[in-house]
Amino acid sequence: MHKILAITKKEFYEHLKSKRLVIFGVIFGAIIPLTMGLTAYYTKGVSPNDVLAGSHGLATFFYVILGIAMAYDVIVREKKEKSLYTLLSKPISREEVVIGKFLGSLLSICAIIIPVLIIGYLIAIAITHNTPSVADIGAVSSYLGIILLGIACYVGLAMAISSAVRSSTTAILSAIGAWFGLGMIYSIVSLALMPQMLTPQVYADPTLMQAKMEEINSLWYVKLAYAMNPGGCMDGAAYSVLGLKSLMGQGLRYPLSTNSMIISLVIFLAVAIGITLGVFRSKDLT
Amino acid sequence: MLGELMNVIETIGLTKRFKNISAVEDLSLKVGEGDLFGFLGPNGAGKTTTINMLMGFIKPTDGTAKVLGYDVRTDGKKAREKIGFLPEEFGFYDNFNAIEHLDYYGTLYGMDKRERETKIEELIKSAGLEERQESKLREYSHGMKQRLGIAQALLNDPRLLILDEPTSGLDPRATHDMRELIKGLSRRNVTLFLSSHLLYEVQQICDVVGILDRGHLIRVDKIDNLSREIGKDIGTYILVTCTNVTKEIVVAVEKVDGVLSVEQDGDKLRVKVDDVVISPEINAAIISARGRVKTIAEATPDLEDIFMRLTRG
Repeated sequence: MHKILAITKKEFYEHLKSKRLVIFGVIFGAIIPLTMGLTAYYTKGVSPNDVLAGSHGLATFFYVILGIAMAYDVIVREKKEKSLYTLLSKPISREEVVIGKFLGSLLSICAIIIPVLIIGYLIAIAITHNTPSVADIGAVSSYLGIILLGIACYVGLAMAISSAVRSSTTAILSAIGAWFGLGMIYSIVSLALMPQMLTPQVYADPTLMQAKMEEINSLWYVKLAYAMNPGGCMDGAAYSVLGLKSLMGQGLRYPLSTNSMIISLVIFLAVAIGITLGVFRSKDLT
Repeated sequence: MLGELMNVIETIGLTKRFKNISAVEDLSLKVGEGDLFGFLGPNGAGKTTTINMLMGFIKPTDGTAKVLGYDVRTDGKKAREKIGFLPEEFGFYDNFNAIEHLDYYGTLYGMDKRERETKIEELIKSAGLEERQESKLREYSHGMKQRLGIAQALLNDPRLLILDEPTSGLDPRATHDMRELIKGLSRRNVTLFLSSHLLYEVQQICDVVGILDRGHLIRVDKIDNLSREIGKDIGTYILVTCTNVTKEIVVAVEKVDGVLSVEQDGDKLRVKVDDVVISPEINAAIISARGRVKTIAEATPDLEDIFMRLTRG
């Protein structure tokens, strides 16, 4: 365990000293509290939790970008710079290396995101003069847990790619491609079904339209397509715990329940880490 | 387990093929405890591939390899607890200084804080890096990095030290310093596995050599044995250095019974003989031709002769 901790600590400090974390951290640290402050100031009668939910759409971009940016080259860079030879000459397993690097990357992101969100939330409380209840604080804690799980999925995804490719450029392009690709699966499946299920009469009747959309979302393969996108699951679960139960503000329920979305994130993370371990273990270090 | 060890490294039929290219073929090798083993071969012979298999970096296509009694496929982690390794090409974390590096690797060896502090101080001193120990690695020269590389390989007081081309890319001064450092290590009661294509380096440090050529191990023996054997093969020579070598001197030496041929190179004579016992006669012949002998000695084949002989064709 101490070996994993040593690798985690080293990764954490290396990330904290890296330009990319500083740059993203400064941008995130400037934009999110400002957005939350402006939302709180210009929207009457909202709670701090509503303000947090309102800023999530913008913040989620940073969550994904940070997850990918901190992890896309953690393995491929060490391979390329040859430090991996020295590291793996020590009595550690490749599993310990992967887990240590994963935790170090995730912790460095937490070191940026959590303080910034807390500051934003405190600003929202100060401006709205609305003291959150215990239930509100509980919802915010759940929100933080969900976004960390979502970020962990992107860290895992980026690491899986990092373990399989030979250059950092390929790693970052593949990770961004995977981010978009996974995000599009649900949209493509839904759109493919629409011509069959949405007739002109359905388009003309909003109630019928919503019912048909709910019908599409209830199909198992549509649910699966939604579950495969960690971004969608993170957003859905995060909005849900903050009290927004509808998909994209259209009054449409999510294809999955909050619990199912959280389980999907856990499964995605387990698969991503499993792939990273499998690839890293099986590949020759050449 | 270690106490019973006879062979620190033992491979049987070790083979590595990359697609259709055979990098190492059917390598069976034993390195005994305490050996100073030189692993020789031209560039591309398969030395680094062999080491990478011993370290568990790449998987053998066939065969087995045991290091310190542990199968590298299944128990490589246990073996690495007692291996010190300096790769041919290695990188460091540029944001770290020497102390941070060694401290990180020390933690991975499971050393406690006090143990790490004592060891790091000792190693930084022996590597001559005290003055730059707080500098970031990006400010280090190649030679300094190489010395730090040796230091990290010694953190765990290894029983087996594997050095892959340790003087590669170093300038003559740094090469000399590195060689002296390695010679010092050979007194630490450690088994040394030194891979190099530099024959002089291996001859200076090692007592046993294995010669690899195009993936095949062609010989393993003590340098002295190989030298004797190759000497028999290429003939016995006596090297004479004298002042003012004249034609008369060369003719006088040629006339000595048992002299087969004489080659002159400036003030040196390379005399091929039946037997070295005729050295006094050669000496006398030179004196009678009014020459003055400065040195006279049997010329034993050096590692270069052995290497060229064994790897030719």
